Amino acid sequence: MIIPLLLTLTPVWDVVLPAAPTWATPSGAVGDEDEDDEDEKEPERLALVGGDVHTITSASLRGATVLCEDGKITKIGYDLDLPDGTVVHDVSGLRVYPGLVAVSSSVHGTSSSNPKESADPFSSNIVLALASGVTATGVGNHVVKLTRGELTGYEFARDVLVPITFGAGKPATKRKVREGFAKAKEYLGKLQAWEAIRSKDKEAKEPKATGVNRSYVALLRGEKTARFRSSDAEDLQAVAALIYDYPMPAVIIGAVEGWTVAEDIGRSGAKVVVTPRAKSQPDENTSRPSGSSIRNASILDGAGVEIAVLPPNTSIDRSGLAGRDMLTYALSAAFAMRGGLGEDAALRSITLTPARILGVADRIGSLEPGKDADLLVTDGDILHYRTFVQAAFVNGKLVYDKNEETYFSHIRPIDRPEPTVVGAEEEEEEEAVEEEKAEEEDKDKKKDDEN
Amino acid sequence: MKTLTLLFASLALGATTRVPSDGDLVAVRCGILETGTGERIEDAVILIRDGVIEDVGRHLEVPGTARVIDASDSWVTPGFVHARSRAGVDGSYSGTHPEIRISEEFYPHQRVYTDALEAGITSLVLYPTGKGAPGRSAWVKPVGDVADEMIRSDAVYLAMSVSSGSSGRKAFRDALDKGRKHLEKVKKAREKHAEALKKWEDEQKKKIKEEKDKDKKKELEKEEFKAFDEPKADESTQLAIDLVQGRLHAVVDFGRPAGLLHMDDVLEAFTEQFKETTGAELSFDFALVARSDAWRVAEQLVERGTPVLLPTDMATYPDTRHWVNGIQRLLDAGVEVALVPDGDNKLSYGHWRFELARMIGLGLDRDKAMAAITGVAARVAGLGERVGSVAEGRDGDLLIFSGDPFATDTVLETVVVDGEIAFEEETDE
Repeated sequence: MIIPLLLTLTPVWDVVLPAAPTWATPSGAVGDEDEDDEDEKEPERLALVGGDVHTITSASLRGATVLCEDGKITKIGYDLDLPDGTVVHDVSGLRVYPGLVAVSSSVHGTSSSNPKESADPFSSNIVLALASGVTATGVGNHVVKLTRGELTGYEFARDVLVPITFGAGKPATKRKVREGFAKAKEYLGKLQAWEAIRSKDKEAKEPKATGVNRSYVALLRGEKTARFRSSDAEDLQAVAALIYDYPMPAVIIGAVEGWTVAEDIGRSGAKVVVTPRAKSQPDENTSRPSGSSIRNASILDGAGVEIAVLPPNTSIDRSGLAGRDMLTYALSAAFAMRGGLGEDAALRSITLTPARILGVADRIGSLEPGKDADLLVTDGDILHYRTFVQAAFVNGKLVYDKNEETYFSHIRPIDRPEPTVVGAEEEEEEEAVEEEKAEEEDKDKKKDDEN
Repeated sequence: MKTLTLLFASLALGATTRVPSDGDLVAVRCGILETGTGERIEDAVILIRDGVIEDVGRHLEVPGTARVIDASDSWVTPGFVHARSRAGVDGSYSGTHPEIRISEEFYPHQRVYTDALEAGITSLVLYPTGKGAPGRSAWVKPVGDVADEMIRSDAVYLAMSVSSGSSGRKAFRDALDKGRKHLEKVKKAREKHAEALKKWEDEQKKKIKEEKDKDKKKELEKEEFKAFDEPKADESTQLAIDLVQGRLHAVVDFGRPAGLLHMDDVLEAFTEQFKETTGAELSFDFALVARSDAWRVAEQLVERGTPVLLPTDMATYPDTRHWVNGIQRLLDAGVEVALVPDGDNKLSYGHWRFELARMIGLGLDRDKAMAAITGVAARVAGLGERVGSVAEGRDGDLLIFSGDPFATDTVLETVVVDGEIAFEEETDE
């Protein structure tokens, strides 16, 4: 038997999920009539109707509708016209959030150098990560989406971060990095000068890039984000000074003593990933403030620093405490709130800010028309410890339904209405009427026969 | 073992050998015959000449010269086909080795083969393990004393594997790439030759035009450019070429469900590269092997239309002990399923049909279960024309049961291989 290699990677959830999900998108609901004309196929439409929509970037809308087409958000608002074929999920009384984004986590257990090649989209940790609301995460220097049961769309940004080791404790590396940036800056200056005159002066030579660190050039051009790991005040000040001298998109991970040098970090423009539950004792040998503070995130926020959070353990730990690992990712933001961070900033710290750090805020991190349809439906405030993610969508596909998974389905279950298809109801009703008629006719016949 | 390998290497000729026979005729009268293709015939007669089935049907006339095996009170099925066995072999050859044959390490005098025969397994396909394409499998019947009686083909399917992870993907890709590389080389050489030929022809035309002497002109006209010398492929490379041109049947083990997605991912890119660099379409003929959790990729398997070989076992939902009849789920989705015993030992062989009985009790379609260990299993191995069903031209390998083969009180009374009784259950009488 010779099998033609027509490869299609479309997932079908009623196979992947343990049981036929009531929320699954009815296949073939859209575009059945246009089968002959595949080019003009109707887009697959999804609408979450009646939920309290938390957009992150603009107002929160009560009882609004989010409409998506082919995996992208197209409209958010009220009284939207839903075209025939739209799969409608009634989420009234529930909340709608963008899928959560983590700057760095190992929920997938994939290799950080090549996440796609080692991905297991069937791993149960993916289900648990989706249950905690995470739909995208940084892995090494790359970004992946928690596509379930398929590899398509899994790795959606590569080499977005440039890790840099830089700290007061290592003067030699510190000098090297600074020299590197000086060279990159000089090269960029020459390059710009050359580009300005090249159309007029054809003799002008392109500046040589030998010995110039390409990654540093990309950073200075704002194409990538520099990633630093520093926690101690002196290191943080050194990093802040570097970023101040060489403006570039940058993120500092850790920043335990960030609250003591918040002004410096604020001036540099660097974003910071904090772990609100991290604890370290103050240094007894110094008179300056030191050690961790629950107010870290809030003080940094006050100094104008954009904050993202991560739990102390960035994998899924099935015996973990609330807020300790990725199983309760949102609670890390809740702990930041306990330290005084505002609610809006707390929400941003697990959505838009991580997306911006990873350079993918054009795709994910908030609910806006044009962005990816990565959505969460929750039964309460996402920052509350009792809240469950009821459903998660990635690229407009239902990838997690609490009622259908073995993990939490039995805990405080909510009966959610089954999805409906716009335009399909009337047909069904007509059919029902016809069936009734037929039954009546049968009865009449029987009566006649009896008579 | 070394000397034995040398001895049997001489037998490894690639050709299928048959047991010599005196041309006699055997007739098997059946109470109920299951043909292995889902059909059931009552009061059937099977005529076997020279070990090969000549005719099957109801109330066939039995020639007086025929030896008769009377199973008119019994239930007859094709011999079971174990399409992927490691019985008595231990070779592992990671890499791309289509030239390696597992038959080279075959040693006939092993109890496990008798165990197989007594459990109704009349064909075993032994395969080499390893990443990528570790080698070709051998078709063995558990009858006879020497290797050349037992080995029916030393070059059945090419065993292959793919898995998630860079090395598992690479090994699979490398196996396909070996043939592609050579084809690309040939294509380039051909293009170069064509170019040189054109150049030579142009020069020649010029020369002829300029030449005034008629004889010399004729001589020039007669001259020919050197013919295209196609780059030679060694045995291994030739087999690798056969693989990407659809002439070598492969059985690919994709392991966990994610493996299938990675296989698709690799194949998608490879198909494109193959076309670009060789100018031809990839033709890759394969069946699949998976674990019991393959039901999670049922939809992808249906789309492909490839039969899948699985262990005879229930699956569980992830992170639970809740059983799933994954095999029935695959069948429901429309996937063709072949099954192998849980292990290669007396217990797994002997319990095979009862393991199936348990799964039938838990929802598995009974007739599909029978097909999964006969007809479909043979087709997965690429032996569908030889064994696995009772039909004209197939080997006369039959099992005679006292009743429904899956009933626990049923006894396997007789095993017929190549029309000869190879095993008979001792009765109390």
